[in-house]
Amino acid sequence: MVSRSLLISTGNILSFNEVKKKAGQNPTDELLESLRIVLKDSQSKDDASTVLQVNRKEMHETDVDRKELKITVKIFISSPKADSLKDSLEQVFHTLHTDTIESLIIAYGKVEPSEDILKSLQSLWTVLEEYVKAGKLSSIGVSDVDTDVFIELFQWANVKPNIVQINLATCCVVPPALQVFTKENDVQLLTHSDPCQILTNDALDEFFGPGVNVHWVARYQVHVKCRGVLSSKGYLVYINKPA
Amino acid sequence: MGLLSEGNPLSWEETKKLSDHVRKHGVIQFINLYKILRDRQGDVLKWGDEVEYILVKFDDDKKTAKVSLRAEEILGVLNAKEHENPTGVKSLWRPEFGAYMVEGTPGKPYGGLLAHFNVVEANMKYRRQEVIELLHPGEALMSITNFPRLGVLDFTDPPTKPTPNSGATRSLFFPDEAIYQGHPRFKSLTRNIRQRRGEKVAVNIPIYKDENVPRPFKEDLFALGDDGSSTKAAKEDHVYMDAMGLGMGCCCLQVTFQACNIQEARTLYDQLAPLCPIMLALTAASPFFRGYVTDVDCRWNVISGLSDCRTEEERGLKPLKENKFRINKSRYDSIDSYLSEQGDKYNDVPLIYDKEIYNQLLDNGIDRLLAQHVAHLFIRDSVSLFSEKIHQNDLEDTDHFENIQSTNWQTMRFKPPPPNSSIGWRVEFRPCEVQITDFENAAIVCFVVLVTRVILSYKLNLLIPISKVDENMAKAQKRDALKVEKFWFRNDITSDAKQGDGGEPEYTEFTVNEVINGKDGVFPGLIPLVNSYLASMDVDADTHCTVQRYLKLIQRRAAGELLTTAAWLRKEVTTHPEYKKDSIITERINYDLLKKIHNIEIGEQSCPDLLGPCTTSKTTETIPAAVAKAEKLLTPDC
Repeated sequence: MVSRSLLISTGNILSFNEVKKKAGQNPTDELLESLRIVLKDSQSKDDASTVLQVNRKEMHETDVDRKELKITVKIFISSPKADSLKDSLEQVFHTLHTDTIESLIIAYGKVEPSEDILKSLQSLWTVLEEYVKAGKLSSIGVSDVDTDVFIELFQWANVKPNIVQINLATCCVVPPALQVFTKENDVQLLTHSDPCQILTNDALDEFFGPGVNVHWVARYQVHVKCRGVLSSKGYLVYINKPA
Repeated sequence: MGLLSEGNPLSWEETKKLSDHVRKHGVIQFINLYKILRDRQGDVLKWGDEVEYILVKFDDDKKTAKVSLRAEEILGVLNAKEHENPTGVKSLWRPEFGAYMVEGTPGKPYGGLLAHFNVVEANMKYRRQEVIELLHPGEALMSITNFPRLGVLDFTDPPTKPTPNSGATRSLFFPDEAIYQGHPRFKSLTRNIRQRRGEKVAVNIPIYKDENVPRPFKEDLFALGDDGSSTKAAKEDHVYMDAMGLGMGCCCLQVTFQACNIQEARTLYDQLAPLCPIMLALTAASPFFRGYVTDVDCRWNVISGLSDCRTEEERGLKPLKENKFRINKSRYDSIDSYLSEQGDKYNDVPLIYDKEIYNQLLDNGIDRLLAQHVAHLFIRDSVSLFSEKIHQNDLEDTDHFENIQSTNWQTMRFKPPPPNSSIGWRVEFRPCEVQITDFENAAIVCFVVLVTRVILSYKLNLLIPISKVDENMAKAQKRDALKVEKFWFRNDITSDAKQGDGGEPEYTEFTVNEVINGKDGVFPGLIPLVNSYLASMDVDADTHCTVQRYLKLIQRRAAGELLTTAAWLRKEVTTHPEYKKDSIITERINYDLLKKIHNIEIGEQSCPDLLGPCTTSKTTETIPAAVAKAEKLLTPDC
């Protein structure tokens, strides 16, 4: 079957009234709601386009100096391929018109035995290390990784992860070993409320019919440092769809 | 209250003669301040809470509880610590109106990281412990909005007697010795307000008409030494009060935060104004006054009435002759105007302000909205002036401005930066009543600060006509308002689209529950918005757990699943074995109630009706080292 790639960029979803009105919904619903808005806005566009983005308010409308901002990005990816991760990072840099990202988290979503997960994470981690060495990323970390795997990754890595994210949506129980390890090694133990798969292939049936394949999803959040203000938030979704 | 100017207070006659002098220089001081600081930019979020406490003395043999008049002694020790190490102490202590009150704040403001929400409660606990160590046997430090038997014969330790015919207060109920003696300001305020008004202050609060309350309910005030004036001022079926101390002697919970510039401060001042009545109803904690169960749940109007320095002319009871203005509110009341451009069109209450001052401000480049706000504050006379502070350098001092500003006790306060300091433009949120436990107080202040971040991040618009905010203030104080009343609130807070053009109103009636938790398909609710915001921020695990527990508490209180403090207090009194359905809080009921409150606040007794199953958080004294380290790399001064 012939297929082609499509990059969808939501732009700043903080300007979507529909999203704000449904405050408190989970990240998947928020993403789907945002995609609905973007795809509706761009329906009239040529079906052959490879990039879809909204022309509503863009993020760099803000008058805040880049130095005052902290950009946090989370990449949801299900393939250990370095190129795919590189591609997502480059798209994020491009979309945000920036050369640096303060904090980057990988959520590796493929279900594998833990030895394989470690290997997959290591292959992705190598990419992040390059970006850190090049001064393009500051803090890097992973999300929803078993404590053992995290410790092994930490010990193996040249550039150590300084963030680990766990999902505490329903309870406040942090695995004790992870708590101890992160404390001893100056790793930030942060929380999130993202489902394991933020966007399944099936969820996109609604927009494109069956047969869509999600390569990666990137979510960026731009904060004004030291003021607790969120100035921009958006998603980039890279898919393959039947032509 | 901040640091107080020290010195010798002037008599009312002297103060009155200087009131134009204070106003004139106060305005010049504001203009000078404004010129230097209007363009100040880029301040980070810093914020702090203020908790007021009452010192209680229990006598377990006699089964009595009194207010302990030892605040001055205790503050002496606490302030000596601060004096020795001004930048190192973890808490700051200040006097308050009552000789039985202390006010505590964190030693340094909290910062703009989410992790700071997790240190608030630990600091409150530290503060409590710090005072507990200085207490005598039988004494307790209690964060309660009002002492139930305040103003009832023999309510102090050591015992004191009111002096209806002499002194500053001249109350039938409240002795001058119960006013804080360590600083002359409080007695001087009391005397000056009474003298300016031309008579004793008076407030009548409807009594809760339980089965055995006499109809009509009328007290024999002559028996307490009344010369007839109180009997005239007292209303049937009401609890009558006649002393500033019965109002200002209540405790409250305040939050102050720094904005990044003057515009943001104006925005937050306005946006939080419609939340004042909502938060007042949610934190309602004072159903008892002068030993009676009343029909109100909040302190607000009591303090307002008992701090009311307006003359009969100003109150509209006599034609204007001596005075300049008819003034429709006490100097302790809700705000009368919005300050931001966005708020302008919702200023639907005719604002009383001094035209000359207004024009002077305009001439000096201050815009109309800010000019009218300041000119409105400056319709008041100084009610506390010290001889040492009369002559000032208007380029450097701001005491005269602060003199008027700090005696306009309103729901919100717009605070210019102090001269020559690193502090920026700030806003103070003042309506909340103080709660029994540190857990609850931390929950409330964190919630308020989170809401400010949500307002700024999502560019929310909560504005409704300011007259409607006042209507809400009146409703918020009624018995059980949280469950019974509906409040005006803006329908669409998320879009900046024009509303009201198609005929639909911009605001309708909501319950507190709907405002806080949302209304399906109609209104998102503040807690869901806070949760969306939190999901978009970097939150460490402990802070996440703590904040979730705080939000849960507020969510359940708003939904009526947990009682408000006021509802719980009522329940405790009306189910006490000694209660005779007469709305009287006897010495024994008072003792048992305060004992129970004390046991709850020190964690010896649980109180699921009020607090739910979970009353602990993961609060810690410092933010996580890894978070601090990572942030330090990004911004050293955060």
